[in-house]
This record gives sequence, structure tokens and C-alpha cells, in this order.
Amino acid sequence: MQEIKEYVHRLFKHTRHQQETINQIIEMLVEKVEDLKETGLSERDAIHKTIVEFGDLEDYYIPTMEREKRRYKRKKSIQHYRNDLLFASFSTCIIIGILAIVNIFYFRDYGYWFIIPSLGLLFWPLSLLYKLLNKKGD
Amino acid sequence: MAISSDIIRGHLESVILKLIIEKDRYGYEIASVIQKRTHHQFAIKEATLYAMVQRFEKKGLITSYIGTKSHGRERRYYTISPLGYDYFERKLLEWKQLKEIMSLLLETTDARN
Repeated sequence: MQEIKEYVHRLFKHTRHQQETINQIIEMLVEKVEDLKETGLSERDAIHKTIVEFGDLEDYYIPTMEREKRRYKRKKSIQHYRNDLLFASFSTCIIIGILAIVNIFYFRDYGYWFIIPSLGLLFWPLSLLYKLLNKKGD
Repeated sequence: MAISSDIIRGHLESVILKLIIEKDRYGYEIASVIQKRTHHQFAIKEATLYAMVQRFEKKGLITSYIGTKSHGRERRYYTISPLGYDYFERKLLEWKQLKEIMSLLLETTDARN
């Protein structure tokens, strides 16, 4: 029955089905081979018939694969937004820090003007946070 | 004439559950009974059947156990659960309604309405 095992493993190579599911399919196909042998077919013919009649994965497994692909893509894009947010937050902190230092040490006479560009800069991570929350909510 | 699988697909769930309600059956037995009862006019693809059976099991509509058939070989048998029975009853009702609607639409010869 090695042929059946190899066939099923090859068929499910690109899917993310659990081993248990694959084993169960193998078990069912082996049952069919045994039944066909009882009708008088040789093991070789029974295996061949079983493989030919199994059909393809289109009917029910492809939708599952598509779902898995979409889920994976979504996970990746959430991770991407997270990284963007992290980068934007760090960069904003550094830029605000530099502005504050320049303001306090070199242009103190003009008041705390660094607050104005800092407020504008905060919209960068905030917009990314908004995007991330929206993506998570989808 | 072999029937198109697209037409029957929506009702395969009910067919499989009905066969398991009749008696506990193993995977290939279900496919083989379907073929015999329809006088080889319809054959379910095993990929479809096994996917459905696994889905039923995940949903708790059926449960499985390892039993023995002839020659003492082990096989995985499926048995209906109360949840599966209720689900089948609902599907049967749906089917009866559909049958009535389709016969009204396709077989009525009264052209006045």
C-alpha cells in the first residue's frame, strides 16, 4: 500500500492539512483497495482503480486552500503594518527628541516651538495605528 | 444517463447522512452503496466523500470508531450523532420543500398563471 501513501502525500504536498487528515484519507483508500481485492481484482489493479477514481482536490479542498492562502496573506500584511508602526513610532520619537534638543539648547529664546512640528509628526504613527486596527477588524 | 455532479452536489450531505443513519458504514461502503442504489447513474468522487465525512466529524454530526469487517480486518466506521440526526431532519425538510417548488415550476402545465 506504499503506492497509496505516496499518492496521497504527493496530492497534499502543497496543502496545510494535518497529518491526521492525510492518514484518514490513506486509511479510507486502503479500505477501498481491500474491498476491490475481494471482488477479484489484483492488488495492482485495485490500487490503480482507487487512484484513478479518487478524483482531484478541486471539489472541497481547493476552497480550503484558498481560505488558508487568504489567512496567510492577511497575517503577513498585519505583521507588515506592525513593523511599519514600530518603525514610525521609533522614528517619530527620535525626530521629536532631536527637535526638542535643538529647541532647548540653541533656540530657547523662541519658546517651545518644537511642539508644533512634533504634533504634526505624531500623525505618522497614528495613521499607521489606524490602518493596523482596521486590518485587524476585517 | 449519468447525472451531472453539480446538480446533486447540494444534496450530497443529506445522502451521506441518510446512509449513515441507516447503519454504521465505512468510507468506501458509502460510495459503493450510492453507486449501487443509483444503478451506476451517479458515482460520488472519493475526494468529495472523504472531505465531507471529515467535515461532518469535525462538526460533530457523526463520530467514528474502529470496527472489524470480514476476515477480521479493521475499518473506520461512522455513526450518526444526535446533532447529525437533527441536521439530517432539517435537510430532509428542505429537500421536500425544494422538490415541491421545482415540481410546481417545471411540471405545471397551466399557462393561465
